[in-house]
Amino acid sequence: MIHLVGSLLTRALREGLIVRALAWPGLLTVLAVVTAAAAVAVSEGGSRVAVSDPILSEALEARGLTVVQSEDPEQLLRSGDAEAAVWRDEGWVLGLSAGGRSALEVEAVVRDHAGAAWTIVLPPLERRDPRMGPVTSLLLGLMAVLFTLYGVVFGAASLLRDREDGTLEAERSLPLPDLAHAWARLLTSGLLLAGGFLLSVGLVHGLLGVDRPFAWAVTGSAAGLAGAAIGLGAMSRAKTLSRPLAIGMMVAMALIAGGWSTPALSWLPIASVGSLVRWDVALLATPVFALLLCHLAAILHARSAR
Amino acid sequence: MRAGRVAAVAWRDLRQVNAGKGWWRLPAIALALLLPLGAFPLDNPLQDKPARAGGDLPAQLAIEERPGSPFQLVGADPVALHASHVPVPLRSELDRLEGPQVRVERVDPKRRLPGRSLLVALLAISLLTGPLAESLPGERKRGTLETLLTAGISRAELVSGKWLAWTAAASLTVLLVALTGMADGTQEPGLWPLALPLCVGMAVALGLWLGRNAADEVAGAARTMRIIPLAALGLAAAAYALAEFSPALGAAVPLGGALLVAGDVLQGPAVLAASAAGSVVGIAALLHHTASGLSEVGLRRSAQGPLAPTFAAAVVWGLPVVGPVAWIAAGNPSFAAGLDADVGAAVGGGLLLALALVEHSRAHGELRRPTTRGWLRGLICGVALAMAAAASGWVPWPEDAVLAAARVRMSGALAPGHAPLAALLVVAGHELFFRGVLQQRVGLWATAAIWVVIASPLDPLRGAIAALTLGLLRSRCGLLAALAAHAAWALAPTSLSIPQPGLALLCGAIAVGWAAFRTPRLSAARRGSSR
Repeated sequence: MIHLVGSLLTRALREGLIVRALAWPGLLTVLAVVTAAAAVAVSEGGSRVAVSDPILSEALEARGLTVVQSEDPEQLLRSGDAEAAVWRDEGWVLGLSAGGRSALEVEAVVRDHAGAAWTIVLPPLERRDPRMGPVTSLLLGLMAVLFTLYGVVFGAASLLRDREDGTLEAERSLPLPDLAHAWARLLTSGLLLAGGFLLSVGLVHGLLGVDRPFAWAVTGSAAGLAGAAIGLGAMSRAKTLSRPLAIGMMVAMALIAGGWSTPALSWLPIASVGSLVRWDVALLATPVFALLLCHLAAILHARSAR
Repeated sequence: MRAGRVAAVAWRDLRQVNAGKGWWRLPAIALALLLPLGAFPLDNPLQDKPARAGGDLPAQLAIEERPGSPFQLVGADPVALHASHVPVPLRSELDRLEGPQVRVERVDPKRRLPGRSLLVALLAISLLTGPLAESLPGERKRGTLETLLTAGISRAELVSGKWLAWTAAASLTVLLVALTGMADGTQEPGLWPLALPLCVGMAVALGLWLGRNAADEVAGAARTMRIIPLAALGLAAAAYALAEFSPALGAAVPLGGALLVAGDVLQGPAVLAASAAGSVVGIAALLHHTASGLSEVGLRRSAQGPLAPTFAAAVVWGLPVVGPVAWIAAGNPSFAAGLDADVGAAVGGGLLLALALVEHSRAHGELRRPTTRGWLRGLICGVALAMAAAASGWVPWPEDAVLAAARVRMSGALAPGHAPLAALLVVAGHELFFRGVLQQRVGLWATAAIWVVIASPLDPLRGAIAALTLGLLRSRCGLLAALAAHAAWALAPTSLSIPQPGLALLCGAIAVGWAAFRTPRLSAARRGSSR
């Protein structure tokens, strides 16, 4: 059994498409976030403020801003040698060529200096904005949905391919109980999906911080395993891929929608993904029921061999 | 080249790819995706009706109180707005207050940010990957390419016809989107739409070149889908950097320059002309190379090459370990400080381990077990590396906050002091990939150099000591000895580190020397076993 899982894992790892499919969601998400942060850094980085008033200059420097002293600050701004400039024209004028927090910091200082009718108080930068929690939850929820659907496709397509090229017959000639073949397939899919999902959770947690990383790791891995069980079970009696895939996808999406709308379903694997995005999840029950679902799929698979 | 035959090939290609689907389906899908992006107005959340979470207001202001609003107004003279951004309607309302005013004036930046048309161009290029994967690779799979090559048309006419088909079809679509966007006021009028066909033409030429020797549509799609977006973004970045010196020079970069002109980042007739010239040269070169390479029926496979896995290793290690530094660069160092460095190191190590397992499963490799002496040597070298942690203490650290943080995170990812699970993942990932996979393909010195560049670019001296020690152990005593050494290094207590840089460097030299040292008994054992 262990050797069978090992050989199935090795075969799967040799498939470039599978490996890329498992790695890309997390990597692309993180790459997009890092690129966005880098774009902000490039567009806002090294902001220079041109001013003529030395007192204002001191106040700006005290806030950590880079100040350029000039008799004609407006000219420096328009020539692109500064990203902000402050000058007098009847009243105070703040010229800006870029937005963002640094521009608002300059405006706050200028308003204080000018004794303006309204001023700006910027909140301190937080270690982690509490509003990030729902965002990362939704992000991981989408990834978990993706891994669940991967599970359905892995379960159904790998069985069909092995049946068509004769690998399944060769595998069944091994002196192993019928159930062991299905369990080996499901364990292989589960290990691959869990590994891929754990790394994805880690990637997002390392870059954005996730509120309950362990809960996400368990829920997403159980959902992937349950997806594989649904795919394998649906494929066990089918001849073509289209029907089992359609059934698998519909069941998976219906469970996710059920979990999203009804918290009482949070103990069900796959439904728990929808629940965790909005509410909470029964962490212990989910993997147990995923394993039960696997056993059911294994029985269906074993019966189809007879 | 005969225009009639080029047009005939173009017409045939369009009919063939659309066969059985209805001629309208591809343009309809493209328009359905592109129109919302390029021609539908978007809601601007900054234009919301002004609201405040609480506070007393002067009578002349009409700002609705809404629970949960991120804007808090406090006091009366002056009114203090507690917020991290100021929407335009709120600003207009507050400017009605009597008293000294500060007028905020927006000035066009020296370097413009790209408009939505850049997204339209990028999406149009992405949509081309399907038809391009079907064009030459599909002909090859169906066996019709050989027939075409023996027919009375030249290779240049064949390739030009295929280029014309998809350039014309996609250009018409994106131009329609651009003109609709300008007509409904979503996009500013300008010369930028003229660069859209240049982007499309270059992307089609690149797609045909990439698919020139692909065996079927799947192989063709895999290449175009992966390479065209990367090439587009890479060339756009190069064009952006060159435009710092001269906008025309940046615009002349094939594909990248045209994308910047299409995105309205670079403006003016001279820039457009430079972009057209660069694109024409690029397209001509690619089509020429595609035509001459059509007969390369035997496909080259480079599954065992070191380039792709090395690039992948750099990405999967660099993103989680150094990625959080982007928050510092973006102006939020406290957010970066709140992220757990152990998680980044563990994920980077885990991804390297996965990459090593993939490469190992494809190479059918085996692990060589070290002798007892090999284990011992590995452990001693690992302890020596832990003692040499301060070897590069005399090398000045970068003053830039971002670089300094990147150096701390990269060095920290390799140094002792991690949670055991993170340390083990880092050790296993690095050793199995670099010493287990890469060293077998490119040798000790190249692996050491690559490892320093990927794992320790900002602390190269310490990186070189570790890379040589572990690489030598791998070649002398096997992979497991290198693993033992790295594990001992990573799990050793930080108190082992010698603070004096000179003594630490001596420990590093001992580690390298001890790893390189070949005992006669081991050599004799090897000779004996080889007999």
